[in-house]
Amino acid sequence: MDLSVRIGKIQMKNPVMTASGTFGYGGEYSEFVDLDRLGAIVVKGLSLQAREGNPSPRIWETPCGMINSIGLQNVGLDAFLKEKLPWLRRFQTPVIANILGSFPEEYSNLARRLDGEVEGIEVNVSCPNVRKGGILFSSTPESLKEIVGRVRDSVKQSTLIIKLSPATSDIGQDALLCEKEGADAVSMINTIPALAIDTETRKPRLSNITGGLSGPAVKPIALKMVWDSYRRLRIPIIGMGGITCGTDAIEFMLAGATAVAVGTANFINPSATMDIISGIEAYASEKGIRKITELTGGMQCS
Amino acid sequence: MSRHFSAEITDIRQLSREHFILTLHRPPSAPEPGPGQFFLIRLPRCGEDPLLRRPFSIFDWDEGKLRFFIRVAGKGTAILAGSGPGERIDLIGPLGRGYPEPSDGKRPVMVSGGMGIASLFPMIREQGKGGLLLYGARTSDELHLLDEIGATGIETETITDDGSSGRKGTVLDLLHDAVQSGKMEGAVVYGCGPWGMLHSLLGFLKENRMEGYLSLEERMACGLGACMGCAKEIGGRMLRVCLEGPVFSVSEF
Repeated sequence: MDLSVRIGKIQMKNPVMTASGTFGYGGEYSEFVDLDRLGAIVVKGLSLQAREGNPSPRIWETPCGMINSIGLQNVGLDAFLKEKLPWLRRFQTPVIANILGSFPEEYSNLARRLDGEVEGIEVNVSCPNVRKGGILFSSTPESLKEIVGRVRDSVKQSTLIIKLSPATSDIGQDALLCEKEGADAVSMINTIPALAIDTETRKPRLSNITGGLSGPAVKPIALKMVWDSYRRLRIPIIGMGGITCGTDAIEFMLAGATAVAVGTANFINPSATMDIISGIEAYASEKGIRKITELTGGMQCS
Repeated sequence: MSRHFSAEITDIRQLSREHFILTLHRPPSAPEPGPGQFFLIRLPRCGEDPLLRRPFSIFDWDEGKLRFFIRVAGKGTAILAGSGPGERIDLIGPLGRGYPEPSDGKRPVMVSGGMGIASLFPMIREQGKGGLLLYGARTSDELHLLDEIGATGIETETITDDGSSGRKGTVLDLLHDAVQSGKMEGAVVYGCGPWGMLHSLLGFLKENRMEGYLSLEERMACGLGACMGCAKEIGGRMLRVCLEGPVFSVSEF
């Protein structure tokens, strides 16, 4: 049985990756996960300078999910290249760096410096554009186009992935725009903007007031967005949103994903990624599937 | 040895309507914890709701068991309280940085507010003789486990918010008295309790230039330092309670 998939230039031994921000820089989970068995490792989002993130509280649990507003706390690009990446190079698994910025130039600088250092660069476009009063880069086609165009010009060797936000009127349209601007793949979905309030104090549960919802609660929404995009795209989709077991991953592939990313499930079961790979294998062997790529877009509507 | 293991519940002892002691059979593969460390417990029988694990300080252990002192504070702890002997639960731990041993000749003084005793008990057990415990709670009903504490041989002073047992006041009042009576000479303080109490304790320790260690509490997701969900501002930096803590030195603030 062949579990391998290809995302741009990245050849993966299976379709299971980690979702940015839920797996640290890999080392945090090495005690529970055989990092060599993963399809790819996507690390915590990187900015040019280290960021301290938002004050606490930063997380709140909701039915079958959680809301977080970490504020993109990270070690910064230099520390990643000097301390984190050399350690990850002990493993055979491709490394994908997630990048974020406050200005368009920050994205292109990050992309240029990471190009060729990592197999893939995943661009988080759901960040506030500081120069435009904090409106998200992904919120208009013009600003999304600008970011994708800039990183495309900066990335020559690595595979370029754009991570899309569900906070949009038509995610398929956004994905198509990324394809036209030269992205090698899209990943979806980022967390869904959300809010929780303490009725005793009338205060928001998070210091940042709002945050992003993740976990099994978002899975049906994410699946629909993958399906909407798949029908219009040629480039591959990395599907994510509430995947906790092998059959969840299979659902995403049937909806149109070539690969999948595991996020919040890592918090509940530190070896979730391993269990999901085993679950995909078991499904494929039970159904007599020879190449896992056969599943992509394989939902039978009639 | 693996820090991710499953263990059978052997006993749930109700101490009050809200408080209970959860005892688990400790499998041989489970590593030995240290005072101040914690475990993440996956709630039994609930699938994906509540979703996240719950962090609990280790209260007591030996070769064959792990004990946790828990207060029902919401849905997750209520589910735990309602589980029974024979059920298996999934744990990750021991996690985090615990309390350091007192350096030679220093007198350990444990300052506990309310549920803080759940985290401080292993220090009381290991450092009890020659040490001092200042133990405060809202009411006398919440001054739990005085028998077990007494059996360690530690000198103990209690105080309650409402005066229903011992003096009326807070552990900070006991601390001021202990200073007056010379009991704090050469002391190293270990504190755990609600944030308001810890904040006052921190101010006191800084002002008096005393060595001390405080155990903090925060909501957590991964417990492994990956999600950054439990980070708190300490000394101008956002530090993870699960990894850099939960015990922080006063000098870090």
